[in-house]
Amino acid sequence: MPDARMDYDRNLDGVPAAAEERTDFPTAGAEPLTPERLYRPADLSRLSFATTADLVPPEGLVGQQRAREAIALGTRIAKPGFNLFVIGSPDAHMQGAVKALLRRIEPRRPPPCDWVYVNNFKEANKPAAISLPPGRSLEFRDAMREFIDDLKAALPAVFESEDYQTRRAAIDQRFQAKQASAFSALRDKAAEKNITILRTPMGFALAPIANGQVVTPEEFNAWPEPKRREAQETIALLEKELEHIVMQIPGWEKERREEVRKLNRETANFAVGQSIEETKARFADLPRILQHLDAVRSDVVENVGIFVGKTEDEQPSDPRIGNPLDRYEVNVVVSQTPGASALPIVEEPHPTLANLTGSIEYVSLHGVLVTNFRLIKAGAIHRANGGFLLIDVRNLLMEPFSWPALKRALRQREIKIEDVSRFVGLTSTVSLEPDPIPLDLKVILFGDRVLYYLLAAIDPEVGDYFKVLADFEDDLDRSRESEEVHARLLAAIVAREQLRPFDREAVALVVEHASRIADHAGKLTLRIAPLKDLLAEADFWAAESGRAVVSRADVQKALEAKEGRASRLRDRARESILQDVALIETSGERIGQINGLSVIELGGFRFGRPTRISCRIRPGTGKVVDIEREVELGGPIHSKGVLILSGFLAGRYALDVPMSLFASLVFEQSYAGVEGDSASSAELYALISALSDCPLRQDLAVTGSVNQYGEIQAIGGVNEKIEGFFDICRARGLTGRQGVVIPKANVQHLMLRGDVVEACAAGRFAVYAVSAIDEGIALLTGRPAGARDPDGAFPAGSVNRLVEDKLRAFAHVRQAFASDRLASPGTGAK
Amino acid sequence: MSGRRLDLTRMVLALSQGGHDRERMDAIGELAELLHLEIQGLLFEDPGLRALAGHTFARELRTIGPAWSPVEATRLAEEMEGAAEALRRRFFGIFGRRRLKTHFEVARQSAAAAFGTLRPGDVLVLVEPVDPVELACSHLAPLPESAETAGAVLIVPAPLVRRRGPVVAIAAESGDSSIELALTIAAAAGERLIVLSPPARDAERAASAAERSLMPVAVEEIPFEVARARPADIASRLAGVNERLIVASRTRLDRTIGAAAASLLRVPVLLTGNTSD
Repeated sequence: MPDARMDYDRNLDGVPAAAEERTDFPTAGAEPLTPERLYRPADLSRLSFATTADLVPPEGLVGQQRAREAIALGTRIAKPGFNLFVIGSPDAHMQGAVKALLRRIEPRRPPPCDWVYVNNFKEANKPAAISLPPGRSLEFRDAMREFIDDLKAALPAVFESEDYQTRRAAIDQRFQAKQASAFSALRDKAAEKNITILRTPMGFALAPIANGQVVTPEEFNAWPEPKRREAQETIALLEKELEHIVMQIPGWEKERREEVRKLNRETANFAVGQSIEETKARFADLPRILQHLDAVRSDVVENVGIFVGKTEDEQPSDPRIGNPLDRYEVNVVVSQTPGASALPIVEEPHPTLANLTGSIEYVSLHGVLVTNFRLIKAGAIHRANGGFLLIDVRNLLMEPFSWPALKRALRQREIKIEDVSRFVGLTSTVSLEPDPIPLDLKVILFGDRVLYYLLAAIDPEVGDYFKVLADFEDDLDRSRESEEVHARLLAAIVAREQLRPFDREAVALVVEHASRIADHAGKLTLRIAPLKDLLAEADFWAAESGRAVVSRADVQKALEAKEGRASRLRDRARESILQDVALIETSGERIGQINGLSVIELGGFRFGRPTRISCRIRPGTGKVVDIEREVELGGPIHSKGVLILSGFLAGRYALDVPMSLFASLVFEQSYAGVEGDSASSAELYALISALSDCPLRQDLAVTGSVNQYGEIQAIGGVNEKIEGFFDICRARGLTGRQGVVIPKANVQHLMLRGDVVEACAAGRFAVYAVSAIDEGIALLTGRPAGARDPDGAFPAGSVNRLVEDKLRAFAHVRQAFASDRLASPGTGAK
Repeated sequence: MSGRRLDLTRMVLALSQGGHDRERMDAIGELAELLHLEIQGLLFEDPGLRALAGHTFARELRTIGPAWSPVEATRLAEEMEGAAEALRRRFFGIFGRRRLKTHFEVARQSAAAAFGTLRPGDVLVLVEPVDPVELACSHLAPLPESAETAGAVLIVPAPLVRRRGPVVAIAAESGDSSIELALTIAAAAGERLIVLSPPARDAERAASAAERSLMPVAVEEIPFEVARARPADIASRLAGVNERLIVASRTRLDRTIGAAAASLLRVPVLLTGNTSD
């Protein structure tokens, strides 16, 4: 095998020593692409405008016919489950676009109603939900406050009135008179017999007295026996009477309480009557409100003590109600604007369970968490009920419990407030079970395609609840008309973001950049976010330059500045090549060695980097070893690409002998994972070079995948790859022979940087497009690849012939080796 | 305030072991607060109970049940202490929340002896028992008789009809000390002052009008013959006033009439003692 290594030297500036360069490489018929095919400028010649201020924004969704139709269907069809799942690129500004569409929709349903929660006087833990016509919830709340304020004045007044006091006093006196009479009679009777009634801490006792004082035991024991016995007998008799009286007291007290309660009811009813009737008159058209007001009236009458201060009849306040008067409050959970024509459109950026379906808050009372209907908080579903709820699906899925809760609400078609703390067992305190509220809502989820497909695969219910898929296009076909629409779209963004107007050239460059973002000269990206950022940065640079109108130079500056900010890694990679740390040759020839091109994407910034790929061969068992795969640095697609090479070799060469090759392929100085098959053509070139002993040009870099038939297939990131190699070559000095070999299918994607296009136009750099491995091998070796003649043989001296000869030779070596082993098995075993 | 001082420093609240309703306790606390007085709870223990405990035949009808059980000296003492402690807690529970200096004491002497130790600046507070059983069984004398003290007495009837409204002073003359006290309370409470006083002569009326113009509260005078006033007369004169408190000098208003007026009108009556000029 001849030494494929050539003398190679470079000065310290990275400029190759021109004297040692070969200059006679033939291109084997492959011609470089013309500059027109490397970059497609925008054609806005038919669009009459000086700046974006003159342009009319486009109507509706630009280039989203499919999504527009889906949204139209999803928003108009009034059947369960026909909610929308809008998918597309994360920076496609889908929410804004859909929101704008929704605002233009003519409502086909009545405006949604207001909702309030009020106390359920029968079951305080089950607050009642009441719907009211739009805007009347606040009126109801205020009316209830007025009503209660009236009662706060009216009830104490009526309970302080002479009439009430007289009647109340009469009841008390009757009761007291009964007791007093019984006790006084007993006391007097006892006093006549020198006995007194004593009040002990726990009851009553009778004791003998003398001179008004209780007789002490010593004194009593000093009495004569008959006197002592008489006193004791008297006490025993009086005890029976005392017992009889005491037994009657609870009955008397109960009678008194009943009378007082009856009087209080009558009095309260009288005081409440007028106010409640006035309030009811305001809501005579709302039977559910009237029903609630009747319940309020009954409760006020039964609990009048809370208006007139503590009384012995007052019921202990329920801590869940808080301030006793709060029970009459109205908790407005949803209030619509009366007369509003548009349906509610609610975005929930943080769809926690509480934010989504509402929550029940708690307050700490004496160390215990308590709650009441006033602490019910509305969620986004409440606010959007009757309209549209917009949620980012990623945010939704990141919140525990939210996704199942949303599905439950859609399935049951009602909003049931769920307490998250109960789900996780954080609280065991008594909570509420508010009445569910009927749900009539269109939910619109937004997300990446990947998320949608993943979710649809994991959760089969997605299709049940989100029957309408609106798939946003990432780009639109590029034509003169679409460029004009795109220009108007940019004008709309400029106006909306309040930026300086952009002149024609500036707009043209942004449109062209839209193609670059789309990775396709024939497409224009519809991802609004990066364009918006570019426009904002260009506006900034125009401001810095004191220009009132943004020019092409400002846009160019913005592009370069953005790239400059993100390109530290790229520059380090480039530096390592220029300093020969990473070995990349850009001149000369090598056997079994080629410049591959890879793309690195980090933090949204992509750049191309050349990588040396090398191949070594020897006779073997027909195995092409991918070192990347062996050390588990190669991803599955990369490995697939390498395995295809074996298929190619087996199908093309030495069809009559066993494949007796051992080849190893490696990405030199690659210490990280390698994925993708875009280097498979480069690997095949290196393998063919190694087999044929034909050196490969090092001033060319190669990208493209290959199939088993030797056809070159399209790859991604073609622009970055070309620019990556161009930057290295330019730094070392452009020779006019350097260039990049790309798949023909990628020509349509070319939107190269201006300096690359200029160098190509000047003949200092070249981009070649090939469609088959034979075209590439001819370009890289300067020899024809060679096609089989009618006898099935490749022409002598052709690359393919050399490869086939080498493979036959390997087969013979292997055959001879096998024969030797059979003849002398002992030797072979050593 | 024409240089006179009220000289009231403390309210002494006479308590027995019967119930004391919160409403009236709050009203007393509020008045003490308005006058910046300390408040002393004085629980009178019935001495007869300790004598009873020594009798071998003694037994009590315990109201919970109700059932009879022997009176054991130790248990009775514990229950009396427990009841006193419960009352003390209740006392501090009600008055401790106010900006008042509070004290509580159990008196084992007779009421007369305890009242005899009152200081000149003390206001003896007598709360009318609500419970008729309390009345029948109390070892304390009935209310008017309890007010046998030279100092100020606040009689608190049961129940109170209101806690807000004008303060009424019943005065025999324009310089009556009760007016100054009532005025202080009215000013602190932000209420009007109503003065029931005999029809004044022109010169007195003019002087009174000049003095009123300097007062911090609205003052209204109602002619009233104080000397032979009966509770019904007072009630009749105050019809529609909706007063919260009546203040009168004990030299002008008999304590029995004062107590009867409190019961009739269901508002506290504060009878002032001797004041320093």
